Amino acid sequence: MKKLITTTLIAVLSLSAFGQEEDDGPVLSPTLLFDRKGEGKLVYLEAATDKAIRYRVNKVASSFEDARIATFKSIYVYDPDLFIEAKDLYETRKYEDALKKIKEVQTKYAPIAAIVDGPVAKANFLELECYRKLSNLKELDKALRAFDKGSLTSDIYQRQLQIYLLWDKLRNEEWNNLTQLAEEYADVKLTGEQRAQVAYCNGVALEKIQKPQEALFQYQIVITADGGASEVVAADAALRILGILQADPAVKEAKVAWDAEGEPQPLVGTIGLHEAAAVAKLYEMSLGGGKLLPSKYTYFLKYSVEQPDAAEEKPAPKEEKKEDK
Amino acid sequence: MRTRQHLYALLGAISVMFVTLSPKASAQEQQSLDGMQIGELVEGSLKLMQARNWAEALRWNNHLVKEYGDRAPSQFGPRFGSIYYRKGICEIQLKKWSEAMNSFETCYKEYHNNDPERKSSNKFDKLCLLYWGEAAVGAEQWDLALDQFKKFMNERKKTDKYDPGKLFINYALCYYNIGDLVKGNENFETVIKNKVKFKTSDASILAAFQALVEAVIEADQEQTLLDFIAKNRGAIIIEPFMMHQFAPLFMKMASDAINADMERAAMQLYQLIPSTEVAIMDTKEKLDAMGDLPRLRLGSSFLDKANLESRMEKLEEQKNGTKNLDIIRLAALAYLHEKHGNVRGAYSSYLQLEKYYANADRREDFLYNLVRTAFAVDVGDKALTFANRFIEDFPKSDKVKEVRRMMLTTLFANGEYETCIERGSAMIGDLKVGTLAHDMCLHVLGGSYYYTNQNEKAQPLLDQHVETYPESSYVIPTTYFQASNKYRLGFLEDAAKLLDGFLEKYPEPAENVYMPYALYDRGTIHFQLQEYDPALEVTQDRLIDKFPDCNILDQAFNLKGNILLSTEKEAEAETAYMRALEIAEARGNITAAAESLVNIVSLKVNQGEKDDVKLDEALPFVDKFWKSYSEGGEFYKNQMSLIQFPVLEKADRLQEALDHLERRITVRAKDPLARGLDTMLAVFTENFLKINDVKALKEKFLNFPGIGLGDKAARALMQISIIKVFENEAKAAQKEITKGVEGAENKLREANARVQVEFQNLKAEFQVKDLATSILLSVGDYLRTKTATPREAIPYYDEAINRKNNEQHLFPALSGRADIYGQSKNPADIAKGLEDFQRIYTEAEVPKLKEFALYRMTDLLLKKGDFQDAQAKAKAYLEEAGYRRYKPDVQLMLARAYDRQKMPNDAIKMYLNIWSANMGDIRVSAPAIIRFMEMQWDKNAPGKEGAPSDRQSAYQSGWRYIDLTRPLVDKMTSEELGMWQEVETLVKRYETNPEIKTMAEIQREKEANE
Repeated sequence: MKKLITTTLIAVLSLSAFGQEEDDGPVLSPTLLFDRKGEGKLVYLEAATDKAIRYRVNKVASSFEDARIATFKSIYVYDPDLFIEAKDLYETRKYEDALKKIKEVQTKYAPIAAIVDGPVAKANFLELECYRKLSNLKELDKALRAFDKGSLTSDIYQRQLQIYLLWDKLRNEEWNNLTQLAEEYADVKLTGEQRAQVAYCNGVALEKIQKPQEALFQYQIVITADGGASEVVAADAALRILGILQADPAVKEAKVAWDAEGEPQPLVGTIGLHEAAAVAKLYEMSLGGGKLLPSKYTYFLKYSVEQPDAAEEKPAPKEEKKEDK
Repeated sequence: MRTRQHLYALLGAISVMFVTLSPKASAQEQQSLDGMQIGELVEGSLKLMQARNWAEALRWNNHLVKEYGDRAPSQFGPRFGSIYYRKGICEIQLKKWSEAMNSFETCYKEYHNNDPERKSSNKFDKLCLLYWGEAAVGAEQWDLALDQFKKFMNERKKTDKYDPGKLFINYALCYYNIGDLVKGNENFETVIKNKVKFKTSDASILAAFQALVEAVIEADQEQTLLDFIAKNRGAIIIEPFMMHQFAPLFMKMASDAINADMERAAMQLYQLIPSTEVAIMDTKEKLDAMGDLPRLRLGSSFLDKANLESRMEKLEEQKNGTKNLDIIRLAALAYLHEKHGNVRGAYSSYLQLEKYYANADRREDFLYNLVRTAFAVDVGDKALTFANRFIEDFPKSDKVKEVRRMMLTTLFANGEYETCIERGSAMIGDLKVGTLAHDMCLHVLGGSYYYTNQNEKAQPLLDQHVETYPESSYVIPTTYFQASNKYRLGFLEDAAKLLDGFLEKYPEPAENVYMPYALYDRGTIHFQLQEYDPALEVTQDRLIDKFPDCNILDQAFNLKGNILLSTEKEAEAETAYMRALEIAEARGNITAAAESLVNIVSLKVNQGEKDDVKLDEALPFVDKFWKSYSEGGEFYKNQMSLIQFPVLEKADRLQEALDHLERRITVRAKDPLARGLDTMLAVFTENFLKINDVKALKEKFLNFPGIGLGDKAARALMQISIIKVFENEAKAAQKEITKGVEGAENKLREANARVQVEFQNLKAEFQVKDLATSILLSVGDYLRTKTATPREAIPYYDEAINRKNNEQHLFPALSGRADIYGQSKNPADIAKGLEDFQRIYTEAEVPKLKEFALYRMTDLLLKKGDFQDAQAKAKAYLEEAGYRRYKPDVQLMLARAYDRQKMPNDAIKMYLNIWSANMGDIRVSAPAIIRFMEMQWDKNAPGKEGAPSDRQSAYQSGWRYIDLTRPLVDKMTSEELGMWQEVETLVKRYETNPEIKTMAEIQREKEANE
């Protein structure tokens, strides 16, 4: 049996040769192995299949050991620096750069790609997210098809994989299916980022099926669900809000009345006008992620008003002691 | 006051150093140190430090210094400096900054290393500079700290290992705190660039970041922070399991930024905080990775299993609990969005809070704000749903009143008037007059009563609102409701004044959306007061021409048609009705279309009396009504059912007309008061008998579809209809007797006998004691007004009057009975009638009833010959400002009272007033001018000062009256025509008198003079 494991691992190891022209030896990833009794040891992972791993007991060990994955309670591969760099680039919103770094991770750590929740699985997922953030839905679809959905176990990853279906509907312009699908999430507690995505896809679909007023509410969820941290959809949602309000006859009427000064302001249109002004301002402040407000919407800024009856108090969370300093 | 949070982070970093030296040691018990040797003390203190028992270690080190410090330089040499160094480390851990600085200073200044190899002497003599600087950071002595760090870098030996990441962070901290953001950023970014290489702890990075935020806020340089975040976002966002524990700190920073008006920075800070769910996922991953290990190094940090488990527990609590950071962030975002005018954004935030975080501590606030913003952005019924939820979940909240107020305005705007009445009535008593809430509630309540036609309840509320809140935002609608409601109550003149005032005060259509409605009401009032010219002017010029797009344009055309018809412009009236129909059909206004069709058919049926082709023309309109617009309202269905008979009869479809009316009777019969049923039954009976006999009618009434034994009012009225048939037969027989028709007497006898029998049947079948009070009234009224035997109604009225708890029916019953007595010639009956009317006048609260009673009392007193009392009552009536309905009649009564009391001057003056002011109303003007002419003639005073004599005046007045009213002859009833002809005869008679200069002569003289 050990021979079979070894043979498979050798095949996996050969994959890494392409990515390591400059390195003489195999890539060794620090890994914690816990056996069924819960006893752990630090090893250096060299290769893995879905059933077995090959590791060395220390970095300089000349020999390796093979073991069945089933014999371990858990395997934890430390995030390689390369992956951390990719993540930093992703968080810094440099998605193209992050993709390049992800490719490096995928190549360099290909021999251990089979590890569930391992660095390659995480890198693969990050790749999907980069394509989504870049609005490259075609590549997202391609990458998603190649993605092993069992390679990540966390609920949040799995939920995100489900949410990609909405993006797929968006790509295929299946608007009615998309709104129905989005409605299924109405009562599901998602993370703010996921809530923003669902609302964004739903908003676009509603807009396409000529329900701009309903779309407005969805776009407002996009820009508030995680405070605009989902900067791509938040920025686009903000612009879509402005587009809808710009085309709204009631808002146009309110604008004319406002410009005329002294004319009575129509209630509904004026609320929309102030909403547009606020979103334009928020776009400049934060939602636009540093981009300039398109010139066709800049006129909205002059209709900005601060609301005297905004929620009764400013947010002032108590200073709480951090845990575990 | 700056927070010291970042220092805690640094201390954490220092602690790591010792953790790497030794696994956790067990705490040693405090023991007496006296008598211990120095070696034992040094070794013990080191072990305590390795065990991170800082307080005890410090006690040991202090003991060393106390026992040996004074003589240490001479006794132990530089080596003793390490004791001060270790003492300083302990003091740093215990945040004894000043003491620590002193220890490191002593180590540096008094224990210079004199060993060139630096092996056996004080090997901390330079390293202590680094910690002296760190202690200075703790003591917030930034310049001193910088000096020490620089000194360390200058003097340090190669063997002095230090953590470059931490040193740069400390530099950054110092620079930020002395306001040098540029140098602070330089150092901070050095750490960030080398994060992996330096293995800088996340805690250190966040400490520096916090210092940066605080420095930015203090220096008011928001852009610096925004640029920094944009450039270094990836480095600041540390792993979620770690980041989340710093989330409160970020929340605090964001909050500080908002308070410093740095909202862009605040929004960026909020974005850096991961959601609780993500933090849970990450923490779980780390725990899984640790297996059973108590501690695990992860990059620059150490994971502590116990801590992680505790954090996981707290995160789970947070996720499902009330302190979820997402809650705080969403609430803060709601504030920011609404502050800038994005109310829908705020609504969306509160909606998410309610939907996903309904267990938040501040849910009451959040739900209230959700209600408030939902009403503001108009999300339809959802706002009411949230409001109801708020009231249900927080019934004792001080915001309940405000929520109810918001609900009320929305319910009113949605047209849910019954609910508004229910809720507004419950609220208004608790509201303080002069508050916005009372203003709104009064408006809504008055408006709701107005829209539901509860006009008597509406009026005082609307009057109060207009008087109390002249500056209210509801003043325009309320002022309109007030005027329109007055009209609905029948006070035409008062309503006219209010409407004129309203239109004058709010003349701008853009501001006053009620203007078309007010004009329509005003036009209607002019029409009802027979002021046709102004009616047409208002309807055409001010309403139709000025508001061609208003949504009552079809109704305006119907009104215009009615006005034109009243001024005998039938063709133009028809055009107006047709236009109304066209507009109503185009707009899908079923009610207005139904009204138009009823008007058109009614016009053509009237014309059909002279030209039956008109009946053929009416037929398509009848058919259109039943095909497309019969749902335009019960009123029009009833109207069409009654007026269409000639049309359908001519089209040989009489049975169809009967069927329509039959259905309407069935519906009407369900009304306990059976309003209008008498007329319907009369028309049905008349037309039914055209194709059936009386027996069939009786059979029909006995088995009338949809009318059961319980529909007593309807059944009683049917029985009376049959009586009426026989009464008519009796009348016809009477006429035949007069004409000498053979057998007529038998017919009369038979008819009278049937009347008696049917009355017996009525009384037998409908015992007064068994009938509901409302039915008693219906039967009584029918007998009184529709039959030849009105006195048969008295038992029904008596029963109704004598019943207890009959407030609703008392006055109509008294009025009916008094009317019957009043028609009698018997003074005793008249006295009874007077008594009933007096009771109504005294006890009734409704002005209309009081007015009627006073009018009838005047009439009866006059009839009774009590002229003085009649005069007093008439004057009382005419002096009451609101009484207008019977004014010309009462004026005539007053004139007659004067006349009969031989008060010719008063009588003549009053008669003159009557006929000159009401010339078109022949019913009163004709008798008035007759008596005026007669009395003037009899008075016979000569003319003086150019004025004609009394007789000439009598003649000329009569002549002018005849001349001006001649065009009305065709419209007059036979009674009116008789009186008018009496005037004409009188004029002719006076004309023959030689004293009189005829009008022809006067005309000729005038022409000659000209």
